Parts: sequence; structure tokens; C-alpha cells
Amino acid sequence: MSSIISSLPFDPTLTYINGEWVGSSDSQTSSIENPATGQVIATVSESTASDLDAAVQAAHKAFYSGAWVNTYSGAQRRDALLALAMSIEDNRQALEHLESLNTGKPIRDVRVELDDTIDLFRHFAGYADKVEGRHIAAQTNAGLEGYTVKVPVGVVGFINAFNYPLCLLAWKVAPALAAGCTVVFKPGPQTPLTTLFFAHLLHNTGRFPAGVFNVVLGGVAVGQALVDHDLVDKIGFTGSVATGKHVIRSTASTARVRATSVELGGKSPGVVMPDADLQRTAELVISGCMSNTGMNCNALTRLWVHRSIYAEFLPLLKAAAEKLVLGVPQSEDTEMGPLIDRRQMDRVLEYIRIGIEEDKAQLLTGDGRHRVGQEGYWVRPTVFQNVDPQARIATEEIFGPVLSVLQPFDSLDDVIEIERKSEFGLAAGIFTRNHSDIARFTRKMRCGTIWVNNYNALYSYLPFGGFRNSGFGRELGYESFDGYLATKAIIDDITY
Amino acid sequence: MSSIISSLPFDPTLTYINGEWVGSSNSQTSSIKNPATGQVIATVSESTTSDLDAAVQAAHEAFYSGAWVNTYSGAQRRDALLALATSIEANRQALEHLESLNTGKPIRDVRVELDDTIDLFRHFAGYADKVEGRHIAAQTNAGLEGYTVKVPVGVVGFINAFNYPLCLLAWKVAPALAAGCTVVFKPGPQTPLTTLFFAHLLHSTGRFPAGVFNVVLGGVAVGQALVDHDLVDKIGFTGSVATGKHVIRSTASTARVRATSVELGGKSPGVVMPDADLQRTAELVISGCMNNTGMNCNALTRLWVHRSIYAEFLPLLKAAAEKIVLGVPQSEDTEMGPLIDRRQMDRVLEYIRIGIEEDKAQLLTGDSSHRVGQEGYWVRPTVFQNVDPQARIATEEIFGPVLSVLQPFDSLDNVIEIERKSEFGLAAGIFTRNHGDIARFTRRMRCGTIWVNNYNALYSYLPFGGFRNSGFGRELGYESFDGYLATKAIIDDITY
Repeated sequence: MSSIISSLPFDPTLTYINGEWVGSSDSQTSSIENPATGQVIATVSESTASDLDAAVQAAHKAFYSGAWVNTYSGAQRRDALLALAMSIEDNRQALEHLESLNTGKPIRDVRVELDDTIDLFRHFAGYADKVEGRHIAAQTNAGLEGYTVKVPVGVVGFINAFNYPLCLLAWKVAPALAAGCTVVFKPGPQTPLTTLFFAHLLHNTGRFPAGVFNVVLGGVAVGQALVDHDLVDKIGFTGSVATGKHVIRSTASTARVRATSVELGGKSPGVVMPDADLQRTAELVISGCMSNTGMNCNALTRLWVHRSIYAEFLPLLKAAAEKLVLGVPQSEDTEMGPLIDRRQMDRVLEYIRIGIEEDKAQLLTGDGRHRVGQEGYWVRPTVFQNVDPQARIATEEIFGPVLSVLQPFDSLDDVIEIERKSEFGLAAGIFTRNHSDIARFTRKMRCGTIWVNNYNALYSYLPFGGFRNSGFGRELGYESFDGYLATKAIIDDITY
Repeated sequence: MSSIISSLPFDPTLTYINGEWVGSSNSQTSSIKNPATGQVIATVSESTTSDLDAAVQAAHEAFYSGAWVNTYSGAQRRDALLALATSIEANRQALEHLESLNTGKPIRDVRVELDDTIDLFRHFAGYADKVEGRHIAAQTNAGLEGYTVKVPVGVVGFINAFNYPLCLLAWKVAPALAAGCTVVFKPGPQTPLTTLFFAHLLHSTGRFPAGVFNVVLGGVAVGQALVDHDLVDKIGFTGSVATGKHVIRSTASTARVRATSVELGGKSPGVVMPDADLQRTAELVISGCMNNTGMNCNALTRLWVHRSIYAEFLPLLKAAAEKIVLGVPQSEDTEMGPLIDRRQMDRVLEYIRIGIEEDKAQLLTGDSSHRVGQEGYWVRPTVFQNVDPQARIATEEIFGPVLSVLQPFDSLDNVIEIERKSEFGLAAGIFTRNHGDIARFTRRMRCGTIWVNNYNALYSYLPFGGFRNSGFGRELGYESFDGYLATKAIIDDITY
């Protein structure tokens, strides 16, 4: 294990600010654990408010005075990102091992995450040389035409979550850099290691001027300093609703306003119609819920099953959940890893207790032993059945491997009406071949992603984000690139 | 010289069809010359109509049944094109030497053309994974929505000109392949060598299935077979107006219609206003006319100079034209090369004669020795002054280093009215700082490109093409990519 850390090509006790590797300005450190075992694997620095200020100053200077925006063409930014993608690809094995060690993710999963990360940088590199406004012909006054000019929004501060440390970094950083922004990036405090490796690779391409990309490490204090900083133009945040609301308020509580884009979680429903392929759907649903040990904002966590197929379907769900293989992350057979830390594990176990004792919900899987082992933070896939749609386990985000199968339903339209009132609006899934039901569901649901006969499929080119308490703004797809641009309109009286 | 040919990593007596290197099916060959010296440098095959048919069949099968469209994702096509760009970059010196040998272009110019070629493949690679239709909300009937799906147009046949053999190949092939089309490509008969080298590099990436890209060699007969072939979906042609009209008619004279995009030349005007920076403008104008020895469809070949600056400006033009350095292409000091072959040289010399003897136009530069030397096809930069706007040399495309400075003008609006009636409409240039004049000129001229205070600047991202006899369709820019896609509209009554 420690050979992975000791053989890193960079010093993980430092961080990367203004093109240099530096320690914390007051020598603070924090311990990083391997959640599969609970053991400490590394020590990293913790950035102070003054380190954060240095990072923001560097990003600000790089944006307003440096080469990245003022000299580099879009094609040069494109080629820098392509070189970075190539470097990530060349170093992918080391990144996979490091990510798996820091998060407990199965090695099979991190391999897919590296595929995605490399693709994300190649995909968004291809936007860097295609920044375009539009010319708008005069519609009323014959002399007054307009055209738009798109410019990068400026310094972007990111606060990342712990559930996909490298992959979500790519979601955010690839389009932001492609658009010509500069970045100050704070990984989740539990999961800084692949972020630091990424900074090392970026630096070594030699194509990103100092200050274009900076890493700060830490928790609430550093995050607060970032969202409060008046030299930051935009904040991108992924995390809980409560923290997200606080972040939003912070961006509007100092001398300057910062733009925001937030991704805040969900309680995404699935709907199984009578004509669904039951076996295939059971597997899609369990995967949709349990992937990444349930630590997906878009996880399918409340399931509507039509009354006519309820009795037949539930045993299939139970079997699919119970056959998931938990095991050491490095094993090719392992399908599910641990939760990220003790706090998440305790939270999930507490929700299971709430489900049993307070919601009085009935278990479909398991026997009462929800935690697996004594080392690390392992919880079994857990499925409740016949759950009241208003139960706590059915309405509050658990962020763990817990699925609530709701009481049987009769009418899709009633389900749609209930779901449209959810406080969340991130994703939903429907399983049916009926074209009209699909049309009604996709047109009436108020959420950012609707999966039809699949779940969790996300790619660099498909926009993803929320409605309501799931947040706003989009990641991935053209919309995310456009989110790092600001529009100027030039209005010209050409008859002058 | 011949060491460049003898050290080629492929056999130039063969061509590339259906993933294989093959000779002509009747062993026909043709001689390729170095226009700087007039000497034969290589022998290549000439494709028969049966070779052409094999190439089209291969491209057709590759499109309708092969992996390129039916299995490959856009990201895979993107990565294939990126690998090809990297390969071109790795082999750029050899390509530069070969292009300079085959065309007589100065080595400084081919270096820029290789920069452009590499950028073109990287730029259009970035569109391959971004093919998007749009969803169209119902505007009238609440149930009827639509969405568009973009699909590649199919098999594209290209007939290339001789003036930028590799660079214009990139203009055409990069967006066509990025869009998922398959290609049958015919280079200008004088200039096949870098096309063959390109095919070798494409094949050697191992990422382009057989039949995706094919090369046929020859002149009128092979070109006719290509524009007549019913398995070709679209023809892209660059060449003269006369041949272009014939091509268009041919695409509509068999059982099936082929779509067309044609770039047919021009007689592009420049306008020098009283407030222009005269020295800088003189250099831009001469460069705009004489670049590539005048063999640019968009060359600035008829110049309007305001009466108030006429006497002051013409000596600056004369000096700029007379200081152009002609010399061996391999020399770093050489600024201008020969014409492409004897036929072009004779045509240019004939137009100079017509200007002097028929149009009775007065020379500004040179004496009577317009041809330089006895070897190769060299003609001096030639500028006429006080030319009648309706003179033959002022209205017919010469495609050589000959500029007609028209009689002085007084009113920009009169110039605009005259130019809007031109049979051509490819490009124009204006030199002034007056915002209102620029606005009027850019909004009222009917041509594909208008250069303001510059000339000839073209990049992968700026659409280029004609009005009227300069042709239709656009190369470069998003519009060119879209030209290799066809739109399907899906109209869905979701209330059914």
C-alpha cells in the first residue's frame, strides 16, 4: 500500500500554487485514510486563509495579466489540454491505484473513471478553439445590429466532493480551462491525492502558465475563505444542500458578488411499468442505486413499482442486491467498496435504523448486520420494501447503499404529480417500452436528467444538473462550457 | 532533389484504395514535374474508371456497413483524427520538402501550410464528438414537438485544385471525416505527392478502417467518373468556373442526384480609403495579390484607390511588388515561387499581353521580360495602373501574380454598387479606420469573406466560400462541418 504513496512522482505533503509546490504557511497537516481499512496512508498539508489568498491572487493575475488569456490562442489552450489528456493517459495506472487506495473504489470502477477523465479533457479541448458569439440582424430599427462576444468568466473557485475525486475534477476543470478561465481547486478533504497528482501532470506538460491552476487543501475554513474571496468571479460547488445554501449566501455577502453553479444532491426516483423487462430492470435499478456504494448524487434511491408486477419484481431486486460482491478494492472481482469515512458510515447506519425503528419500513435484503467487518467503513447493500413515500428514508438523501421500494402504484400520472413536488430534481428513471408513457414522463418531470431504460449513464457530452434543491447550472455538455463564458453584446449604430 | 522522392516511406507509383496500395488497373502512369525547374521528379499511376469505381464502392461499403459510422463513436473518430494530426506533425519536415518540390512553393510558405494542416485536423477532430441536433418545442399544436438528428451525409467525392495540395486536402477531409463521412479524394493532376504521403500516414495510424479514405489519381476522365457516380452522396469541388458548372450539371445527370459544394474562383476587389495607412496597406495589398504567386482563388486582383491618395500610393505599391524575392524554393530568403505548370504560365503571360495590347493598360511594374529565365514557370509580379474597371484583365480571373489598379475613385458607395454586380463574390478587402465606411462595406458587399485592414487571413475556424460564380457552400468553420451532415427531423405526437 504505502509503496503507492512512496513511489509518487511528487511530494504529497506539498500543494501546487502559482506554478510551485509549497507547504502550508503554518505547517498544518491532515491525515488521509484508506476507507477500506481505516488506516492512515498519507499526510498532506492544510492550506491557511493566507495560502488561499495567495492562490486566488495567482489565479487572478494569471487571468488578467498572464499569457493564458491575453496571449494564448484558443488553439494553444486546446493543445495544452490535449497534451494533458495524453499525460493522464500515460500515467493512468498510477492514478488508478492511487484513487482506489484513497477512496476504496473497486479497481474496475476506477478504470472506467480514468477512461472518462481522459475523454473529458479531449472533449473539452475541442471547445477551446470554438468560442463563438453570434451576429444578430436588426429586427426593428434598421440601423441597430448586435453581435455577441463570448469571453471567459474569470477566476473560478471549485469546491469538490469526495465521491469522484479525479473524475469530478475533470468535469469542472476541463471546460473551465478550455474556456480560458483560471482555477483555484479545493478537493474534498478526505480525497486530495489524485488532485495533487493531476497538478503534477499539468505542471509537467509545461503548457500551463503559473497561476492558471492552483490547489488548496482543507475543509470548512479554506472553503469559506474561497467562497468569500472578492477576486473570485465564479464558484462551482458540489456537496450537500445545507452547505450549498451557505455557499450561495456567502457569494453574495461581501463587496462583490460571485456567480455560482451548484450541484446539491438528490432523491432520484425510478419507475417500473408493467411492460418492463423485469430481470434487466432489477439489475439496472440495483446498479443505479448501489454504484459507487450509493455515493452518487443522482443515485436511484426511491423506486415506484407497478402493483401488477410488484410481487414478481421484488425477489429479482433482492437477488441482484445480495449478489453484489464486496471485497478488497484491488481485486478484479470486487463490485462494491466501502463508504468514504466513518462519518458517512455512521450516517448511513443511522438512516437504516431510522428506517426500521421510526419509518417502520420492512427490509427486503439482509439480516440486521448492516456493517461489514470492524476495519474500514463497509455497509451492505440494503433494500427496504413497501415504504411510505413520505417516510424519512424515502425522502431524505442518505448517500449510501440504501434503496427504498415504495408502496405499489397504479397510475403513472399520479407518480409524476407526486415527483414534480419533490424538493429535489436531479434525475429520474423510467423502465417501459410504451412510447407515450416515456413521452409524458420525460416532458413532465422536473429534473435535470431522465434515464429511459437505463440509469446512471453519463458522458462528457450530456449536460447534467438539477432543479430546485438539487441545484442549478449544468456540468458536462456544451452547457457546461458556456457556463464558464460570459456574454458581451455589442450594439452598433452602423448608420452613424 | 530525387533523394526526397527516393526516401519516401511509401511507393508513389501506387495509390491508396480500400486500405491497400494498388497500381492503376491498366498500368497507366503520368509524370510529375517540379515547376521551379520544369524537370520530371516522379512517376505516379493514373486511375482508370474501374479503379475509381472500386474506390467509390469501398467508400460506400465502409459507410453503410463498416465500423467507421456503425460502430465507432464520435469520440473514436475524434481520437483517430488527433492521432493523424500528431502523425502529420511528426512527419512535417518530409511533407514540407515534398510539397515544396512538387509545387515550387517557398519553404517558408510550406511551413505555414503545415502549421495550418495540423491545426485543421485538431480543430475538426474537436467537432467529431459534438454532433448535435436540437429539440424544438411545439409552437402551435401542443402535442407536436420535433427534434433534429444530424447524420453524416455519406460518401463524399473531392476534386482538389493544385494550389494548396496538402492544405486544401485538410480543409476538405478533416471536417468530412470528423462528421463520419467516407471519402474518395482526387488531387490536382500536377500535385498528387503530398496527398499520397497523407494517405500513408492515415493508414499507418491503424485507426481508419479500409475504405474510409481513398485516393484516385488523374485528370478529366477520372474526375468525370467521380462526379457521375451514383454511389457518391456529395461532391466537393475546387476549380474554375467553367469546370465547376460542368461538375454541377454532372451531379444532376444520372439516376441519382449528388449534393454539391463548389469553390470556383474570384476577382476580389480591394478598396483603399483616404485615411488608410498607405505603407502598411501597400504591403497588405501586394501580399494579398502575389501570395502563392497569385494562385489563390481569393487573391486581391482589382484595386480601387481613392483619388486623393492615388499619386502618393502607387509608388508604394510598385516598390512593394518589385522587392519580392523570387528564388529557389529551398532558400529561406525566397518569397515567391513559380506558377504550377507551363499551361498556367502561358495563360498568365497571355493575360499580360491582353492587358498591354487589348486593354491598353499601363504597366506600373516591370518591363517587357515578364517571364523569368528559361527553366521552370517563373513570372514576375506585375502591376497595371489606371485600368478601366471593365477591362479584361480587371474582370477575368488570371490566377497569377497580376494586379490591376483601377482608375481612381471618389465615392465608396459607387464602388460598392459596382462590386455588388460582379459575376464573382468570393472576397473583398477594405483599408480604412472609418467605422461607418467599414460597416457599410461589410454589410452591403455580397461576398463570402471581407477582410478589414488585413487580407488573406484564413484559419480553421473562419468560414470561407462564395456567392454567385464564386460558388456556394462553405469550407472551414462550423459551417463546413455542418455541410457534411444531413438533418433528419423527427416529429412526434406525444399525446398518442
